[in-house]
Amino acid sequence: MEQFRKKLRRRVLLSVIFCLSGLFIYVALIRITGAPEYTKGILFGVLSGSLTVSVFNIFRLMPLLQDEEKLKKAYIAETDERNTLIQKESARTVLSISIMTAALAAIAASFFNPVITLTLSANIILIGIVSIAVTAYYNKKL
Amino acid sequence: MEKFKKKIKFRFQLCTMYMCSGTMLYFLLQRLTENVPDFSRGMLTGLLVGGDLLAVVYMIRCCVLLRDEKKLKEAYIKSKDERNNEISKETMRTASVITLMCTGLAIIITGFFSITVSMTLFADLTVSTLIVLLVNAFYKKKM
Repeated sequence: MEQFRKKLRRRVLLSVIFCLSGLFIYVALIRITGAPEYTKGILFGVLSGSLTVSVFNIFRLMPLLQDEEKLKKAYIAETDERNTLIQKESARTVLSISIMTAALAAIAASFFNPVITLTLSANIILIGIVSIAVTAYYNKKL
Repeated sequence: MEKFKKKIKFRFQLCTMYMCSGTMLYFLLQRLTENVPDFSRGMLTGLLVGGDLLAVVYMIRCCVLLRDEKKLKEAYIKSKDERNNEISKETMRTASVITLMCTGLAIIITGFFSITVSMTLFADLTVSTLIVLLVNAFYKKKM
């Protein structure tokens, strides 16, 4: 339980660091690079989205650190076998569906725009490479 | 073991069906899409050849397993192996997270060079996130 408390504290700290560094990187990127308006919009969107999630995370975790009962509940939820199993099973299905959807989209897009097809193909290849690399890692580790 | 044998037979039949329907679909698309750019036609041919090759390799593997009892047993043990299953699950979970993060980064980086690529990746990320939510909801109900 004490380890879980430390883990939560580390998460809060990471969120705070992320908020501050995110703001700093955003300002630096906008000043240094002569990014087009679209890219500036993307950067702002990514920053505001990430900041919202981080702040939400901090507000969610702080009460847990102060209330022992809530901390216990969170600990049970986190170590729950069923939740872990659901996550693992869904990840397996998600990856298969994502690859199939991207492949279908790549075929459909080839009739309209080759750039989109190549982008989606590159994405599928990336998933393949990552899967092979991670499998090799877990084969060694487990 | 008998169930596993049936499963292999079923997979063999699926591959045969896939090859036949894929080839039919290819010729149908070739006829229907005469004004389509050469790139698309080439891609369709590439997909058909790639898919058929994979199916043939898998069919050969299934044939070997169905004829050799010893190899079938080995394959059965391998498919039931807890460690392999655990590796597969862990791999998919980690690979999903890494891929999502890479796509997110790629959206930002490609934003500096090409809006089309960036938008495509953004759409891909959105669809992936939706799939994650739907599949999670499904498994929460099912398990």
